[in-house]
Amino acid sequence: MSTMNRLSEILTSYFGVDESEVRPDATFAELDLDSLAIVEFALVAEKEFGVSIGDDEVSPQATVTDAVALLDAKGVPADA
Amino acid sequence: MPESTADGFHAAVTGLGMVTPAGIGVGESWRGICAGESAAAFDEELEGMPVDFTCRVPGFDADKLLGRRTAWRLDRYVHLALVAAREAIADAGLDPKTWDGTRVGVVMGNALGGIATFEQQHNTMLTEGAGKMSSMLIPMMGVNMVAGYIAIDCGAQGPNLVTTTACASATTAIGTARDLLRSGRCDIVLAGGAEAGLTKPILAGFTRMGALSGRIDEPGAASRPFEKDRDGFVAAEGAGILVLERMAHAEARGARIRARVSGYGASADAHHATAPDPSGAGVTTAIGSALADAGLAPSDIDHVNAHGTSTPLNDAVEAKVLRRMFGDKPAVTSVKGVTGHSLGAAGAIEAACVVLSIEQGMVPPTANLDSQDPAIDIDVVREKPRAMKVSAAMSNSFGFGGQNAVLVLTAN
Repeated sequence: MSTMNRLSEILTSYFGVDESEVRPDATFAELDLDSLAIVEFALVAEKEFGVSIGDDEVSPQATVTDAVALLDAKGVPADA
Repeated sequence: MPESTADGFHAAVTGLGMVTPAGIGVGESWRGICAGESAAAFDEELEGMPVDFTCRVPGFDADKLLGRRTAWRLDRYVHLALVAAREAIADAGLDPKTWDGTRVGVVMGNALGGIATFEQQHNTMLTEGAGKMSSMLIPMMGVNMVAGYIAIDCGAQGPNLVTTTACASATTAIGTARDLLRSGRCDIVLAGGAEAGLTKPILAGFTRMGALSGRIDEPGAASRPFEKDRDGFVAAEGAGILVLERMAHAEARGARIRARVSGYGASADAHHATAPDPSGAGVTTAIGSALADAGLAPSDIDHVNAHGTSTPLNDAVEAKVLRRMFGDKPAVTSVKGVTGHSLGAAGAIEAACVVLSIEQGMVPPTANLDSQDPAIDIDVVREKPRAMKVSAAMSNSFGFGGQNAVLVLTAN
């Protein structure tokens, strides 16, 4: 599964975001993830992807594409 | 119809919402409560504890009822409250899109806040470290948050607060809401209570106090208010909300006025942390003050929805005061035989029951009343609902700390 698909799965199953909303250019704020929720997102993503994400590495203004790029840069394997 | 209140003020009850161990929604809850069958059962989350049974809301799925997008960031006690609040608002025929939110208050009772979330996060801190704790801990656990989240959900921008008087919290909330309407600060107040603190440490704490029934072999028989072999309460969860309005506001919009909150009284025993004053002085003061506020005499009261926790001490003192003040006239019931004791939510669930008793002319029975305590000389409704006219009724709640709160409700 691609990083994008796994990210989408987290956003829909854990955070209740509608699948149709998870577009590459959607920001976390648009998906109802404010700064508090982003901290939770980082925890959930750390568990899912097995990488460490700092509280300031994702902001509500970041897009889904930004998050995928961040995860890929951290060496997330394409399949896990 | 009863006489007017001391100053002629009544709050109209125009909507009800209930989420109880007897069911989700007013209809299911009321049917279960009238059926008189205890909701207590073995609780798998308490496996291995000395008291391992509770009254939980059956089949409550917050993700389904509220949507995962809302539910994930809230503690269960707020989940229960939001479902009840939405039901109450719809029942009142109100549309939050069109109301003047600045005139809508929220007053909720609660005792334990998001204690389950706190315990879970405390465990995360101990096992995984502070850096793995949820950013939602604080907004999920605050006792005040239930009123805040109701406001966010429906756009109620008026006074917003939580009252916390232990087991009397929701009754205090409804009384406080009535005062807000009476003072003119609000036209509408969503008032009630919510609780979901059925965790191992909380249950163990109540067990260590000797407050809970120890009938682990027959949980369905454990909550037995006013019965001779009662041995403690059964812990429960739930939520209840009443939509209260200024009478003129309700009438102007053509709302169905289901009943009125006509009086409120409160007092403190100033006696002991957890035991009621055996003289019943504090309870007597609260009841007397609620009757005076309503401008009613004891003989006007047809029905009492008792605190009736099923603890040896509470039921004895409450019954003694009722006998002394009212004789054997009012039909007394304790719905805790069915629902268990939902602490900060109990008073609202019970006030909602009183509204339904007034409306339907029916008082639900006290479950498990096989043999009434011979020392308790009041008319307790048993076995099946009693059909009777209820023009004026009282709802009692008494909390640890000796905090007493009493409501008088009347037919419109």
